Formats: sequence, C-alpha cells, structure tokens
Amino acid sequence: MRGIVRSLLVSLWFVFLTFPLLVIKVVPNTGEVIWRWKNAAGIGIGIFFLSFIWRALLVKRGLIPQEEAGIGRLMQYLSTPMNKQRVVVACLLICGWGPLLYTIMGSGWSLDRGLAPPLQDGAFTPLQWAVFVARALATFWQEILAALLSFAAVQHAKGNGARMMAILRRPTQPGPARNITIILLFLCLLPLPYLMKIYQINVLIQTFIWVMLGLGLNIVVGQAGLLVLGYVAFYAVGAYTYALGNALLGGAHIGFWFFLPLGGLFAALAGILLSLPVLRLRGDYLAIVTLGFGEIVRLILESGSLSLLPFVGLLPEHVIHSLPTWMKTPLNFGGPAGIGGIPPPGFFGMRMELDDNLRYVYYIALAMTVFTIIAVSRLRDSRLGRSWMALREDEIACEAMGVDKIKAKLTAFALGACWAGFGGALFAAQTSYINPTSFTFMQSALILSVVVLGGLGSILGVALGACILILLPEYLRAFNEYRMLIFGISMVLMMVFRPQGLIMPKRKRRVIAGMDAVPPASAGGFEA
Amino acid sequence: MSALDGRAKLPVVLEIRNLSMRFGGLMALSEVALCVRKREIVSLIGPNGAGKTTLFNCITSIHQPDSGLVLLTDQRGTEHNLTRLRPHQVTGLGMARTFQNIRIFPSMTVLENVMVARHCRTKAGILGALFRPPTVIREERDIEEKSYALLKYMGLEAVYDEDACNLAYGQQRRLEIARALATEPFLLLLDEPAAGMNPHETEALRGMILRIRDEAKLSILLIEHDMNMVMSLSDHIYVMEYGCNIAEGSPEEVRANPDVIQAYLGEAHA
Repeated sequence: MRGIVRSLLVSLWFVFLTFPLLVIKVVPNTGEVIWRWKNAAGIGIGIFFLSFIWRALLVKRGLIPQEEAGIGRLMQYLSTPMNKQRVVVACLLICGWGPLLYTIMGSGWSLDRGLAPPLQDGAFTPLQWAVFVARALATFWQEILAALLSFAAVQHAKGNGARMMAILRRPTQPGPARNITIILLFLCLLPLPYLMKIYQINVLIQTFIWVMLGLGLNIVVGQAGLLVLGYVAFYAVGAYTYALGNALLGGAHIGFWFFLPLGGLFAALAGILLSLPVLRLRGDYLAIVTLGFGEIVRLILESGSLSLLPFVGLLPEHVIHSLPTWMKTPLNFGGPAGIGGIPPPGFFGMRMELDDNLRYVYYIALAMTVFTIIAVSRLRDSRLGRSWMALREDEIACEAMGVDKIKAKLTAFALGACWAGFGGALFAAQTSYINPTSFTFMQSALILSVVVLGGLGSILGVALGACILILLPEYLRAFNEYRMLIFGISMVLMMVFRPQGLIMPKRKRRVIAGMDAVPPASAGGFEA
Repeated sequence: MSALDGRAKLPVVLEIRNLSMRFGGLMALSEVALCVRKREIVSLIGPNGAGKTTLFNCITSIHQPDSGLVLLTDQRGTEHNLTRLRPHQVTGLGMARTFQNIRIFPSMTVLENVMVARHCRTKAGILGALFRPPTVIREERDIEEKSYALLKYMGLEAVYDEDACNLAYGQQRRLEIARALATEPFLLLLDEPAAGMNPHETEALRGMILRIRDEAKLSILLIEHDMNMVMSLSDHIYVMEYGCNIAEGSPEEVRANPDVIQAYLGEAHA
C-alpha cells in the first residue's frame, strides 16, 4: 500500500515537473495557449508504473532496502519462476489498462481521430455503446497479442542479450574469432554508400566523425583522467584550418589532403597551448578553465576576425610600412555567417559528381575511423598509455615512479586534440560550409556524453556511445520536441544503474608463460 | 657494522645538510642533517608529527625545502643536488620510495602497476607506440618480463592479473615495494612499511628487507614505528622530534640515549 502511495506521489511530482513542457503549448503567432491534458495523464500513469520498475531495479542492485521501497509483493512475484499461467495473468494485468485508458481518455483522444462515436448530450445511443465496447474489446485483444509477443521477445532477448554483453565485456583476446568479426563488420560497412540515400550517408559520416571525436576525448578524459569541457574548440580549429587555409592558399595542388594533417597539427598545438596554463589544475578547476577556452574560441569565431593590428600599431610608423601585408590584414573568420565554398576532398584531380564525392568522403571517414581505433588502442597499450593511466589514478605516486607528469599531460592534450582536428577538417570537407553554431558548448557536452555513456576508457564503448547519441536522434525525429527530455532522463538512469558506462574498459590481457605453475594458494603472506 | 669507525669507511650515498622547511607558521623541519652510506639500512624514528614523512617528501622533491641541501651520489660517483629537481628526475637518478598511506594505482592490474614504474628506464615515444617497430615490441616484452620477475620476487606472481585494489593489505604493501624496485634504484626509501601488519607479517617483512638489501645491492632509508624491527634491522638510527635531529647512532647508543627516552616516554623518565 505504501508503495502505491509513493508511486502516486512520484507520478504527481513528475506531472508537475514536466507540466510547462508537455502540457502548456503556446501557439507562436497568436499567443493562444493550448492545454494538452492528456499528455499530463499519460505522464502520470506512465511514471506511476515506471516508478515500480525503477524501485524494483534499485532493490535488486541493493541500493535501497526492500522495506523502504514498499514493493515486497512485487519483488516476491518477480522472484518466483515464470510459468504460462503467470504470463497470462501478467498480460491481463498489463493489457487491462488498455481498455481502461481507452475509456478514460477515449472520449477526447479517439474523438479527434474519429475512432469512437461522438458523445451527444452526455448520452450514448445503444448502437454507439455497442461500437464503443466492441472497440474497447478489440484493443484489449490486440494488446494481449502484442503483450504476449513482446513477452516472448523479452524472454528470448534476455538470454541472448546477456550472452551478447558477456561477449562484449570479455577482455580482448586476439584470435581468429575476433578478427573474423572485425573483418565481417568492415565488409558490411563497405557497400553502404551505394545502398543508401544521400541523407543517410551524411548521417553515417557524421557518426564516424563523432566516433573519432569521442575516441580523441577519451584519451584526455578516459585515459589521462583530465576533465575537458571545451573539446569542441579543437574540432573548430581543425575545421577552420581547412576552411581558412583553403580561402587563403587553396589551389589545384593544395587541398584536403594537405589541410587534414595540418588541421590535426594545429589542433594539437592548440591543445598544448591550452594545457600549459592548466598543468597544475585538476578536476573541477580544469573543467572550468577548459570550458572557458571553448567559449573563447567560439567567441573569436563569431566576432569575425583576428588581427595583429593592436600590437602592430604600437610600432613606429616606418616599421609598420616595412612589415609584410599579411601582418596588417586581419584574418577573417566570416563571423556568424561562416565560411562557404570549401571544396570536397580531391582524388588525384578527378572530377566527381556530388553523389560520388559524398561516397568518397564516406570512405575517407571510414578509413580514418579505423585508423583512429587502431592508433588509440595501440596508444592505450603502450608505455605512454600506462603513464596516462597512472596519472589518472594517483598523480603523486605516478611522479614518484618516474613518470614526467608535465610531459604525460602535454602528450595527452596534444594527441586528444589532434583527433578533433582531423575530425574538424573532415567535417568541413563533408558540409563544404561551416559556421560557429557547429562549435557550441552543446557539442562539447555531447562529445563528453558519448564518452561517459559508452564507458570511460573503453574504445568499443565510445564507438557504441557515438552511434547511440548520433544515430538515435536522427532516426527519432518524431520525438524531436522531447529530445532533450529523453536525453536527460537517460543520462540520469545511466548514472544510477551503470555509472561506469555501457561497456567497461578492457585492457590487453597479459598471459605470461609459466604462470600456471604457481598454485594460487601461495599468494598470501610472506615467505620469510 | 654498528661501530662508528666501521661506518665511516663506506662511501656516502645520500647526504642531507641543514634542511629546513616551513608550512606557514609551522617549522616542519629545522636544520635537519642525515647521511646514508652504501649498502646500509638507516632508520628514521621519532614520535608522530616529528617531520619524518616531510623529510621524505623533501628528499624525493615532492616538497621544495626552504633551505638546505639534499645530495645524492649516484653509482658513478657523481653528486647531484636534489632540491631543485622534479620528483620523476629524482626517481630517474636511482632513488625510489614507498608511501605511508599506500598509493598503488587501484584500478590497474598488479602487473601494470609494476610496469608503470619501468617508465623511467624505457623510452618508447608516441611514434613508437603508433608504429610498433621491433625495438618497441622488444622493449615491451622486456618490461613485462622484468615486472613479472619482480612480482615473483615479492611473492605476488599468482595475483598478477588482479586489479590492485582487490589485493589484501599486506600484498598491497609488497606491491608498493615491487613497484619501487622496478625503477632500478640504488637507494630505497620505505615509509612505515610495517604499519598495520601483525607481528608475524612484520617478521616476514624484516627478512624481506634484508634480502632485498643484499640481493639488489641497495641502501635503505626506513621510517618505522615498530621498535623491534628498527633495532634489529638498522645499521644506524636517526631520531627526530619537532622537526629537529635529537639523536643518532647505532641501535645500542640510541636505546641508551636519555633524550630519546624522554621524547618517547615523557618528562618523568628523563
């Protein structure tokens, strides 16, 4: 009983919280207010049931005691094994709500859609009653069928899903099975641009770029443990390197392939530049400074130009005259309007159709993602990767063990930023037009979410996180209005139930010859 | 080696002269002097808050002392002043330490903990990590083998693939020593290695320290509260109180010193 009261209160609270967003809608031009009460009812009922599931999960994880949750009977029900009878009862319980909801909300909701007979003077004619009941029953059966199917699916998926996750979380073991999986996955990705529409190819390229960004940030945040909130600044450096470089000295022979490494290099330099003043900072303080750095870069881009004139103007007149012109002309970033006309990557001077060009960019993005994954995993298993990990775990001990803290931090920043630079150059080549709105704090937060959602430090996890966070919103455009709401809720849920991310970081498994000869029992105590 | 005249013949490895360190108004160390000779076990004792760990932190450059000298003489006989170096440079010269409150890398495996400490004796860089030329592969294998050998030496080989935080307390202490040894030191600083151990474990640790000294040919500077261990291990003992040296000498001399008895037991016994 207490549990029900609690769930009711929780659902009321949620209705209250989401009220301004989900219930009130102001029509922009007329200022008329529309009250969408059925949304409130939906949220209330939905949260009422969800809160039971939520609490059951919390009890199962041992985060709250069962008595406090007030769901003793539910837990008892869940802990007894399933049989057919119980499945049927559960289906009835769940589906019973269908017709009830239909009856409650039906009057308003189904009237709109012409599903139910209209209510006239608050009274039904017998025929209308019959139709109404028939429809209610029809939904009832329909839902029972759907519920049975989904039950079966869930039961099936439970076993398979667990097995899948077990495979994903197993420590990396180089072997034929793993190599074949990777090659098969790669082969699946190869023909995609010839099977998909332009829009979908674009989405996939975006996903690849985000995988690269996520993996780059993962070096800094996941491996070296330095929380950076302005990562998008390096992405911007890469993109603007290509855009501006192309505008200033682009030509037949200097194009994407020249500016791609240059973008990475400049971003790495920006990373070193940023890391020098923040070498002493950690945690929150580092996050705030890097956040500021990101905003500064965006503001510079928005303000439109950067010039040496304030400094050059201090020099005497005749010196100014003798200076080269590039020192006196401001560097134009294009302001909020951005820079357009960025050429797509060249392929030995061949002229390509728009479609083919996009496919070409797709293959470049794919190749660079593969390159990134290989590079990042090699770095992780190297001497450098170990020093980053030690830095994350304990700075003082890490220094005392002979790791140069400053060098480790600088390389982490530089390498992390470098991949953002590559991603930026690729992004500029893909869209052929960039402006500062692509480089806001929201993007930084999104990259960080990719890393955190996927699992800090895990390469596979970050790739998965990028796919989820970039692909899902694209394919769920129907829920566009609630995207941020869903995003926030899923982040909160993640933090409660899987704070370590979807996939735990894996490390190279070290097998040492002769280790089996030692019985584990001799591990404890000194042998004096 | 307890006699002073026998001691004077050995070459000096570490010498501290007039070291002072101030935290705000608190004089943590004032004019401290100390000397460790080759293949010696030197102990540093004193009541809590006497400044022993601060002295360790100054020696390893975690703190910068306000004045004074820390001179380390390496295997080739070159003398280095450590006061202006950074901690990793000190480790690189050949001095390693353990910590009073264990500071292992908790979520790395036991083997990786030791492998990190090989950092200053190896040199693969970014390009080496990316392209993995044969030299780097060989170096990695070498790191792995040497680290594993050290684990074996400290009796930790069975747990080499565990996360370090899952180790028992005594094992974590041994891991810290293994990690310090992996930096190939000629001077090892142990900060209360027996803290929190039962008498049986302490006895085993005593044997282990002696064995390390003899087999790895090290000098050892030790902070310890367990008097049985200090008295039976040390070639030479320094006593500190309120940031000052109050006594030094062989275990017998220190045991008989009235200042030491007063510092440990209070006025009435003086």
